[in-house]
Amino acid sequence: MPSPEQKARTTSLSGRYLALRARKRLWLCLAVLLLLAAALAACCMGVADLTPGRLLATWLPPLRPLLGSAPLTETEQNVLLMLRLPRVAMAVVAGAGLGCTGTVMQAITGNAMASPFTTGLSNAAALGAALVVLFGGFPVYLQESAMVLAAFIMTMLCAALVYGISSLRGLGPETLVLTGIALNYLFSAVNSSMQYIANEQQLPAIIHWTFGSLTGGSWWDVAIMALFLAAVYPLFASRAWAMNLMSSNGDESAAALGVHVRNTRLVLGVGMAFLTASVVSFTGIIGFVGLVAPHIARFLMGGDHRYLLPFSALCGSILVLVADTVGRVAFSPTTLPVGIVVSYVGVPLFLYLILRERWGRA
Amino acid sequence: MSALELSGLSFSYRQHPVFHSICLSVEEGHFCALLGSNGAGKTTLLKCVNHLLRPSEGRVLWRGMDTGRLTMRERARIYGYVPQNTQARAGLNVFETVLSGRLPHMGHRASPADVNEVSSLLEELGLAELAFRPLHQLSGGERQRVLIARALAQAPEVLLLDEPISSLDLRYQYEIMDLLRRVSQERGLTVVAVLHDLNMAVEYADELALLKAGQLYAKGTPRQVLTEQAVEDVFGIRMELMTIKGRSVLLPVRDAVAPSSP
Repeated sequence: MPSPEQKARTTSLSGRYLALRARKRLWLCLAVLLLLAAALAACCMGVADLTPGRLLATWLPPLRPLLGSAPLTETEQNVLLMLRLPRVAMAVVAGAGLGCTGTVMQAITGNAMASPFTTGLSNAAALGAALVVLFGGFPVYLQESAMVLAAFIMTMLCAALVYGISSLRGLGPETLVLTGIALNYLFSAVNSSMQYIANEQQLPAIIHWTFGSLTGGSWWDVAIMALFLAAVYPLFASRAWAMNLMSSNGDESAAALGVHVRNTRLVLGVGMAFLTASVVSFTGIIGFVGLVAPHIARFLMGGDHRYLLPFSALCGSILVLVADTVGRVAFSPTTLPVGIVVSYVGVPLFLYLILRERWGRA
Repeated sequence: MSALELSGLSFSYRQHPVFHSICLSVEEGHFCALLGSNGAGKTTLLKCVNHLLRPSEGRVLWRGMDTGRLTMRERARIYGYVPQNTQARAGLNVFETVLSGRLPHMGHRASPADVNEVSSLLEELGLAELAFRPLHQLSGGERQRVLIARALAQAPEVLLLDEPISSLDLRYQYEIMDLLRRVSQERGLTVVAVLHDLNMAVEYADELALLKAGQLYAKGTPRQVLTEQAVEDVFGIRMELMTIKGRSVLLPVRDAVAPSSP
């Protein structure tokens, strides 16, 4: 029977854990608020001069006298609803998808350097798009849809190859990463060959696709990506404890605690492949997010995947949204592709967090 | 009454047999040490008990029930396991690591009862001060205690430990062995541990199982099993069994290594 003093100490320890958990939930709420603020800023910034006051004046007419702002013209409303909002939504969904898939990949491989692109998925998607440009022969109005479809199919094919080959050797984390790296080089070589044989009209289209861009995204594109995210996310979240064990203590510990490691790795890998394919086939390659968003989230939130997973998704969304907005307005009217800007925005932040942790430990 | 029973257990890696037809029973609440030279199959045998490795033949029974037929989650409620390798990658803190031991009993969300159980274990094992430190930043001995706490959080019937003291200094070795004996006695837990230190086995174990080249060489109480002849046969080393202040101690004799080591 524990003494009253022991009981008090136990209660205090539980209280500290619950306080830590509450702090993590607060971080999640703050990240949601930051994302909303970034989305509002992204909607307002650009060639068309839209302010939060004018948006409110448009949709809440009774507030107009208070705000003293003119409502949006019909053209401006079209710009907002047909161009900026789908683009913002696409950045949010793509960033969330890439953040999640990066976290899952790092968990199932136990490798902090892993991301969906480690397994060659991006180069496979690029190859799909390149094949359509070179050999598709589609009319112009169908070419973009064909590129999306081909990129999706090639990404899934690459994932099937990686998992198929790895499963011959027990689907271990090292085999998975090494097979992925080998296929990554293979697809990269095939891509280079495609670029080598492309003519001068085809080459810019192939290369532009690899930059990663949200330009021209429609509500349909957003809906399809969001559907995949909504279908796959619960699959990931329900295996958060399994990911905790596999990433922190390894397969043996996870299995001893009742986790079917091989099945878990397969299910998470298939979910990751679908989600990655759905994102990259619409946006092209935005590679850095899948690597850096989970790390940023881990610095701030710790390694418990019950909180890390949603926080990585939010970090990915914020990163892509900020990068796209910067790329759109920094050299306006020229728009820099988000795949390029995301590295310029993400690397300094990533380095700062690494150094802050080192200084903190010192 | 024997609660844990290994019945004709065999295991092979592809064509290479590791151990063959092991029959062993351990009484409920007893501490059983698995001993043997390197490569004798101790670790593999331990992993076959909780089916981390699937035996090629034979069954493992707990209170008469074939645990090989259970789901992994059900088995995790019976067997707690502390691996030989306690290395951890950056990720969870100590509290979260021990909380993960409740996985066979809880869903996605840890209940207040789970949280209190973990707090109480951390207090009991003297880990409260480390509760919110990252696991990978702890010393080997501290990590060992955390992993024992995690295995205890599973509320298992049998605790399986693979060389729990092999990488620890002398003080931590005794600390861990005292801890295991205490929790085993307090909770009526059956403990099966792979050990290399024969004197530790003599001092702490109720039963010993001595393996030699994949076969069970001897089993019984420490006095029955660890004879000078058995030590020489299994380890290829001559040792003298002495009694110092009422305790049996094995000491190597001069030129202890036998001419023909196994």
